[in-house]
Amino acid sequence: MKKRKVFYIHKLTPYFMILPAVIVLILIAIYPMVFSFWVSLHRWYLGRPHLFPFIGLENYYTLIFKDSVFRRAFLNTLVLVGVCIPVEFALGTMLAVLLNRDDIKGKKIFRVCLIMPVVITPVVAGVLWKFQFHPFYGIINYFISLVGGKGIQWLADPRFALPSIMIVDIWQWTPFMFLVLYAGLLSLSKEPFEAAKIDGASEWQLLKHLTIPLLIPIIVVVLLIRTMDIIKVFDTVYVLTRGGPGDATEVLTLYNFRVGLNYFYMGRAATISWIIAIFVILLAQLFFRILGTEFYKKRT
Amino acid sequence: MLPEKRKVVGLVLGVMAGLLLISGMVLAQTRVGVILLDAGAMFVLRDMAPEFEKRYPDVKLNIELTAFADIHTKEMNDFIAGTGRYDVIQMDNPWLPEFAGAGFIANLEPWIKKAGLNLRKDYINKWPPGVETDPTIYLESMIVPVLNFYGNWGGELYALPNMPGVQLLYYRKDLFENETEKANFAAKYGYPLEVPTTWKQFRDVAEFFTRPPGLYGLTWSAGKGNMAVQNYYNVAWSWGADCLAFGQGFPNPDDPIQNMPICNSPMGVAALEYFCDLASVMPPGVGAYEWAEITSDFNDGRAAMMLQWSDFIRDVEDPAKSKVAGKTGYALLPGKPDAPANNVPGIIPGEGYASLGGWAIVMNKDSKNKEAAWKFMGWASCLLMTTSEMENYLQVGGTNTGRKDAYFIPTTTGYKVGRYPIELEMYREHIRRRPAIAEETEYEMIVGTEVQKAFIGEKTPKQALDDAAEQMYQLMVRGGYIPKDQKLVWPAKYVNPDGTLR
Repeated sequence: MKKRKVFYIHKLTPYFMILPAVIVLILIAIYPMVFSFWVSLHRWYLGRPHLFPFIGLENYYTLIFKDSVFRRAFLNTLVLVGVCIPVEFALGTMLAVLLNRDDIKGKKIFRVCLIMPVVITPVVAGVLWKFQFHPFYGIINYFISLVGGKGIQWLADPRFALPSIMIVDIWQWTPFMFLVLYAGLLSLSKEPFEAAKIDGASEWQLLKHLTIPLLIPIIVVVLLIRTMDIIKVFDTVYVLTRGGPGDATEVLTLYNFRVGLNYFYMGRAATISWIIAIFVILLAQLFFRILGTEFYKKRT
Repeated sequence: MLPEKRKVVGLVLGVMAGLLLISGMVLAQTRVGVILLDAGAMFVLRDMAPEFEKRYPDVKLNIELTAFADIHTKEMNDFIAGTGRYDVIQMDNPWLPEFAGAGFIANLEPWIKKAGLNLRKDYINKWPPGVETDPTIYLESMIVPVLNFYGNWGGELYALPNMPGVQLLYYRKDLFENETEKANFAAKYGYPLEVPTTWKQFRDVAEFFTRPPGLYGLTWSAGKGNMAVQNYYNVAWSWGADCLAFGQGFPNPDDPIQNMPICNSPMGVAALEYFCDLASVMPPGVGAYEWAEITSDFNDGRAAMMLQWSDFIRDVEDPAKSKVAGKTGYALLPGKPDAPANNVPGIIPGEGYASLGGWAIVMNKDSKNKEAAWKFMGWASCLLMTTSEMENYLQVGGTNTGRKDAYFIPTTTGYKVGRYPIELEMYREHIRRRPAIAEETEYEMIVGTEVQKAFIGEKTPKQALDDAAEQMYQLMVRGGYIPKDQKLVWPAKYVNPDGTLR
């Protein structure tokens, strides 16, 4: 009997050991997620918190098919992902490869200069760029006027507002791409490159057949992190344009903030959060499918 | 025991007794949690807290200044959680229906009566005629329209104004009084250059002074949401337009047709066309300006006129911040004399109207220190301040409240620069308000975004206001003011097709 008891205690010990972590996980991750999904199936306006009618998927239907601002926010977010991520990746890769060359002098200074935008808080970056984009006091229009051009209303013209957000994002986050890819390049073994050089491989062949394939795991991670980041972009847009002019720079997180924390429609806000989450998961899967194939093949 | 030892023991006991006494005093004090807007005038109020605590030694203030972007969320979180963390809460005036309607805040009438103030509800001269709620609340020392717009919910008093604001016309006296400018203007327009009292003159004057890039006739804003909607309606009310058929009162619980949007009336469209046309006499970029950017242009000498909230006068008259300090005059907003006589209730053709802005203070219903909270409210609204205390408060940069006599203290800067007389006249006769619905924040974003779209040329004024009307209808349905099965219709029972009242 005693032996049996000891056996059970022994068997259950690991479960007891992980129990605190499981409880914490349930409290801070699983319960809020389940609750937010439950809320997304209800109409819940905090101005009348006692009313909590179940409406099924109506919030999802309304947002996707009837809410033009939501659709615009979704489209703008897609455009940001589609433009900023490739540009940041291309520039980041170029900079990393360039600074990885042995014949470049003053690498440390370049590195420090490139890191600076990343360490600035996005809100501060937004305020700084708001000044740069100002029609009178901004440095950009000043330079345009020097070459005889007409000043642009960067933030008040719907044609330029979203590109302005892109400029800030690319300015701030290209260095992040660079840093991660540069670290990846430094970690690569030199032997394959030396062997390829002896065999007469050109710089381009080295990049195409050695550097990029070897960096695939890092590229997948950095693209995934940046994509998730840009889908969540909030501070820069809030400071620069508040989603305007009109709906020209409305993005998913800003709209979610407005619906949830300005209008207090918690059901709709929870629904937007779930749509964002599903969007990110699908996008992540897509990345792994396209970019990760080679990586996984190698692994397996 | 040796005398030295006795001394030491006595000293220790004395210190302990002192500490005990101080602790007792601190514990006996009631701590009042206050949340205020992070604004210059509220810094002054916070800095004067020691004076308040001197007057009420049993109350200790715990003031939290919060940025505009966060304050509503923080307050709502406290209300929903029911913790009563904040006893006194400062709110933007359109939030009253949301807070009072949900039962988050306390009725102040028992406290007013307890303070021995004579609160009456049989006031005959209603404020401004046609836009009153019934009953009108009257307190002898307060400006009636301001008190009612800020605090009257369902005929009961829930809030006290403590930082009211209204837009004024700021103009450059040095330009308007310049003889050459006067002669040139008269030659071009055929009438003398004066501070404009009509929107037509206003457009002419603004056009006359527009000499880019150094000088523009006007600086204002059509920034998304709040800026666009408030500035547009400051024009549109003179045209006789309004957003919802119930106008300046409250939604009609008995007839949803009166809760229908009328923002796309021909008058509304004409007013928006005028508003958009002003872009040609303003600096580039105003379509995305925030309030502070408007003032920057004016302070920099880049505009001859500015329409701006009254509390920005502090910056305009500060020589350290402004090139036009001492050169600025203040006037009422222009009107439209040829507006239809029978349009929005209370509108007199030719008079200018401006949106009432600014903040009021309310008492949290879940407050555990209501007695102490009331003392602070009486202080922060100047209601229970002595005249000398109020004078001192205004002198050090405090803001005027709804108290009448504060506008007549000749030693204060506001009176000296001519702000207070104009401001008082605006409050008494020329203020309008945004729809008194709990979803007011969303209204601002809906109409403000559409107005901005028209201003930047993304839509025509008609398209923008039609879209705004459709979205406002959906909002009113969501809010329960219009039943789901009631389609969007023109409220012909109350408003003529051209926008005039039946």
